[in-house]
Amino acid sequence: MTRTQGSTVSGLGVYRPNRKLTNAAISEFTTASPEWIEERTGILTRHRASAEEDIVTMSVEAGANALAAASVDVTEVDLVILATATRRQRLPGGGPQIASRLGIPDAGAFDVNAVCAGFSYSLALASNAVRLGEARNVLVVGAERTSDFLNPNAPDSYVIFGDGAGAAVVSGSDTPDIGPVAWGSDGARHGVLEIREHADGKEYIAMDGPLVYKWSTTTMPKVARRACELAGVSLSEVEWFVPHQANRRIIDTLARVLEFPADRVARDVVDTGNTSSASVPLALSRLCDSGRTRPGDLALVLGFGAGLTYAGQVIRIP
Amino acid sequence: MNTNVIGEVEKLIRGLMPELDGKEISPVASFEELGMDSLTRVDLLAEVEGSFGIQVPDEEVASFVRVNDVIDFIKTTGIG
Repeated sequence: MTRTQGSTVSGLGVYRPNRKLTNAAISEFTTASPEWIEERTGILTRHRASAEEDIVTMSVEAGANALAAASVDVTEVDLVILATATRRQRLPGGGPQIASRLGIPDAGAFDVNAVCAGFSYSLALASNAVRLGEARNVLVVGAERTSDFLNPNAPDSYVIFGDGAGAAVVSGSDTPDIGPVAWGSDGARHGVLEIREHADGKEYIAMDGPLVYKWSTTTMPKVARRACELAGVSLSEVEWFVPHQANRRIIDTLARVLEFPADRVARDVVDTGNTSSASVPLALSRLCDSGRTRPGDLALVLGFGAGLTYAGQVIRIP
Repeated sequence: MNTNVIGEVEKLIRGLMPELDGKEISPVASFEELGMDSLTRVDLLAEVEGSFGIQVPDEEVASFVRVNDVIDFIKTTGIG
């Protein structure tokens, strides 16, 4: 394998679980009304995975779709990275199983847990591997079953999180279509969004909504500008903004602060909810499927959340 | 009390809540009475941080119930 000048996202693929819940349906299980959910989060529906739709299965579906979109054969994939924070089986990781079920022979494979920033972290690692000649093509998947950790007595989190998988194929390119990553963390604030074990042994996501909102909306604009600076472009040259789909209020505030045109911001959260590491590839894919993007358009992808941690980069739309 | 602080805080509130145009914003009013939810209250705190060059500690964010609470906090930083 040889080093390449650049790397590119050559294909995208998704898997959304079959079961889709409206706000009216969700409000049957918790104290939030449909009106409160929509006002507070902007979310109208979210998908919830069945027992058969485990993380590896969803990843395989999304991965197969991404490989098909990229026209990359499984024998040409040398690395599989699974970004996930909600896979119950800690050992082994899911990456090797995704590779084997897709028929990818003997690829490097591992899991990354950077929660909502997981996809952008993994994209950076994939880009580096391709550029160094360590992999011809990399399959990156963000997949989550957040519904396994939701507490109906905590409506703030219960109503926003969803399940799904989004995948991207990263390939070599003559041009640097994936910019350098702007990443960082604030571990001192780990308590504002984490899974906690209760006395009955159940594990639930606990979230301080206002503090997560404050950190996201005051810190991420600087990261967005940094990612553009690293890519050598101005924010005004970026045509699409694909932030982590945390909730609509955070997305709208970020767009407002960055003065990004509202109609060029991904808002897949309205239909899909917050799917943690899957949210950026799911939103990016829906944006591309809308027919509004053109191959080569510049997009800023930005993941942020539990850790607290974040990562973002400018890429070219496949 | 520095009336500039009061005026600036009122200006920031009105910037976030245009629906308050023409209505009085009393310093003793609660944010709930003004129709401000917890996330818009956070927006206000972020605007206050930027406008006055101060930081609101995480543990204080939930404690701001009335307009006066924000004004008093700014005063404690020595800025106002």
